[in-house]
Amino acid sequence: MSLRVSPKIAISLVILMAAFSILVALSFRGTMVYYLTVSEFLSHPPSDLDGHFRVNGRVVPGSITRQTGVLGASFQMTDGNEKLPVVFRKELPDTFVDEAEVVVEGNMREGSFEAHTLLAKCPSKYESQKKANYSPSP
Amino acid sequence: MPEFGSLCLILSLIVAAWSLVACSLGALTRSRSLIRSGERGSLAVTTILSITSACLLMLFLRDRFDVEYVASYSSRAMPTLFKVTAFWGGHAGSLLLWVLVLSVFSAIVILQNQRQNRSLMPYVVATLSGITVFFLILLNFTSDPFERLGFTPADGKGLNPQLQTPLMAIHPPCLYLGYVGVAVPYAFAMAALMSGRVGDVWIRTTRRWTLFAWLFLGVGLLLGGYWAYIELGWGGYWAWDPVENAALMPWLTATAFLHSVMIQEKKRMLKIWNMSLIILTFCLSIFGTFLTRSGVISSVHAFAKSGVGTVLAVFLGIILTFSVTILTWRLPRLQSEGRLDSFVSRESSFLFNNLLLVGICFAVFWGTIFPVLSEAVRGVKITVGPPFFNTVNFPLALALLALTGLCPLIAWRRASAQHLMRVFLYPATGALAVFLLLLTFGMRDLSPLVAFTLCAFVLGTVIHEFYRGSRARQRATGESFPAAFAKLVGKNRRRYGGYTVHVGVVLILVGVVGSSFFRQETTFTLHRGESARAGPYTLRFEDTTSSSDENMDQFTAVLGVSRDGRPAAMLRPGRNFYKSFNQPSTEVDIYSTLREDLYLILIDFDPQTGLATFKSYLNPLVNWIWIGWMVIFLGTQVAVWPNPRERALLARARLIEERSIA
Repeated sequence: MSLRVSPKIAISLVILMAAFSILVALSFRGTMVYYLTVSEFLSHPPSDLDGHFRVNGRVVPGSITRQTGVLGASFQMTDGNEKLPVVFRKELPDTFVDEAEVVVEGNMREGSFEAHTLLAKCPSKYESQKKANYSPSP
Repeated sequence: MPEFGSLCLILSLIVAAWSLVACSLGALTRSRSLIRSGERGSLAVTTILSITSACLLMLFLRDRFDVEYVASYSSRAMPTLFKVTAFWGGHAGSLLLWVLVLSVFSAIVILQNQRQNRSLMPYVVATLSGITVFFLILLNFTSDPFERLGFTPADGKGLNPQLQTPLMAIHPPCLYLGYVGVAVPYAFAMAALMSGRVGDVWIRTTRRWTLFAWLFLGVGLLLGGYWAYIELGWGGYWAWDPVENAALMPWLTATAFLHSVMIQEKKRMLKIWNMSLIILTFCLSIFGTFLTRSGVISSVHAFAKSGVGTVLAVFLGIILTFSVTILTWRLPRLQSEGRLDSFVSRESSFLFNNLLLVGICFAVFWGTIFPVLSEAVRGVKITVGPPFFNTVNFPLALALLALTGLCPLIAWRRASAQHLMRVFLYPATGALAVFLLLLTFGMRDLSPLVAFTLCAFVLGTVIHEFYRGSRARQRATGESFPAAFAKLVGKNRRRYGGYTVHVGVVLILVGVVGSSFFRQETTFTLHRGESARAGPYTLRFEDTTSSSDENMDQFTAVLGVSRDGRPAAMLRPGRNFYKSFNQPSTEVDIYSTLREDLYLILIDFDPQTGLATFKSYLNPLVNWIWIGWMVIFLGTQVAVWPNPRERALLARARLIEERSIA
C-alpha cells in the first residue's frame, strides 16, 4: 500500500471511523422521516410512525379556501387516488397555488390533517408544457 | 437562425469527436501531427460553440418565440438582463453553457501547454474532448435548445419570477466555472496515469486550476445562499436542499484535495489518495449536474424531468469505471516514498483533516440519496431533513475547525512538546479569554460556546503565525515591521494565502453559529400607525404603496425602524404579483449591520381592514458569512498569484519526471 502508517495512527484511524459511523447512525435514527403519499398515509395508521412522517401530494385545483384576517388556508391534497383535507395556519409560501406539489408535516385532528409545516413547489413552471398552452399569433 | 444553431451543434459534435480520436491515436502512435490536429480540433470546437451560444443569445434578444426554448423562458416584457440570463434558465441552455465553459477551458489548457507537458497533452485533450463529446451528444439528441415549435406564439411564458434577479446572472455561471473547472485537474490526473508520468507534475501544473475551480464552486455556493436569503423570504441561507448538497460535496472533496497535494509535494506520500480524491471530486461534479436534471430527487432547484437522468447516470458509471480501472493498473507506480511516523506531525494532521472533509462529504451524500435508496430497497421513501445534516456535521465541523488551528503549527515529521508550548501559548490564552468573556456575558449554551472559543483559537494562531514570521524576518533582515510583513507574505504566498483563507472560514463559521443558535422570530399584525417590537428594534407601520406595470403588480409596506429610540432605517417589505405566472412573490427587506440583520417580510395585507401581518427574523452575525467569503476570495488571490518559487519547483518536478521515465 502506498500509505504506510505506524500502528498507533492506524488504531486511532479505526477508532475515528467507528466514532464517525456511530455519529451518523445516531443522527439518522433521531431525524429520519417517512415520506408518504396521501393513499399511503390514509391506509397506514400514523401512530405507528411515531410522528416521524410527511405526506406529499398535489393541491386539488379550486380547493384552497382562505379566511380574511386568518393566516394560512385550508385545502385538499391528492395523489391522484385519494384526497386529504388539510388545514395550515401559518404563512404560506409563494409557491402554494393550485396544482402545486406540497409536503406537509403534522397530525390528524377532527377529520382533517392539521399541518405545522408546509413546503410547496410550483407546478412544473420550469417545464415547457404542451404546445397547446401557447396562444398562436394570428 | 435557429437552423444555423442546430447545425453548429452537430458540427461541434463531429469536430470534438475528431479531436478525441486524433488525440487518442496520436498518443498511441506518438504521431505529432495527429496530436496537433486533435488540439486544433478542440480549439475549433471552442470557436463553434461560442458562435452557437451567440446564436442562442441573439434568439433571446430578438424574442424569437418560434424557438421552443426561447418561448418557454423569455417574454417580451422581460428586461434585457433577464433575457440574457434566461439563456441558462432551463435545462438545454444550461447544458450548452456547461459545454461552452468546458471548451473554453480546454482551449486555455491547450494554449498554455503548447511548449510544455507535451507528453501529457494528448491524454489531457483526449479526456477533455471525451467529456465534451458526451455533453454534445446530450445536447444534440436529447435537449436541443434550438428546437422549433412549428408556429410562433404571440408571447413567451417568461422566466420564473424567482429567477428574475441580477443574481441569476452570476450564481449559475460561477457554479459552472467551478463544476467544469474540476475537469481540468481531473484530465491531467488521467493523463498522468495513462502516460505513466505520475510524479508531481500534473499536480503542480494544475494547482491554479484546482484553486480556481474550488474558489468558484465556493463563490457559487455563497451566491446561492445569499440569493436564498434575500429572495426566498424564510430568513435563512442554507436548507440542505439536495442541489445545495450536490454543489457542496465536490467543494468538500476539492478542499481535501488542495490540502493533501501538499503532502505529496513535500513528502511524496498519499499519491493514490490524491488520485482518488480528484476522481471523486470530478464524479461528484458530474453527479451534481445529474442531480438537478434527473428528477430523481425533488428539490426547489430541479429542472423539469428531461429524460437525461439515465444517460448522465450511465456517463457517471463510465467515468468511474474508466478512472478506477486505470488507477488500479498504475497502482504499482504510485508507491509512497515517505512514511507516516508520528501522531503529532503535520502529515498526520493533514490526514485527519482529509478524513474529516471526506467524512462530512459522505454524511451529506448519504443524507441526500437516502430517500432514493430506501425507496428502492424497502419500498418506503424515508427522508432525513436539515436536523440530520446539522447533528452530524456540527461535531465534524468543530473537529475540522480545531485542526485548522492546530495543523499549521505542528511541525513536519514530528513535533516536540517544547515547540508546541511556544506556538500554542498565546492563541490558547486568547481562546480562553474569549470563552470566559462569553460566559460572563451570559452565554450558557455549550455548542456555540465551544464553537466561538475554537474560532477565537484559530484566529489567534493565524495572527500569531503572521506576527512570528514577520518578527523573525525583521530580526534577520533589519527591515521595518510592515516591510517584513509584506515581504514575508510575498515570498510565501501559498502559505499565507492559505492562512488568510482560514480566517475567512472562521468568519463564516462565526456567522453560521451566530445566526443558527441565536435567531429570533416574531410575527405581528398592525394597522397603519401602530408599532411592534422585535428584539431591540421598534417597527412602526407607516404606509403602503403600490404600482403596476406590464410585468407585475407591486405592493409595498413602509415601516420605520428604530433601535433604542433612535431611528435606524426605513424598511419596505412587499409582495409582487407576476402576471404571466399568476403567482405572488415575497419581497424581503433587510436592515443589515455587522452585529445582526433585521429581516422583514410582509405576509399578508387585507385592504378591507387595513391590517398587515409581518414576520421578522433577527439573525445575529449573518453579515460575517459574506465578509468571510470576501476574505477567502482575497486569500485565494494571494495563493494563486504566480510566483517564481512555484515555477522553479514545477521545473524541478519535470526534471525528476524525465529522469525517472528515462
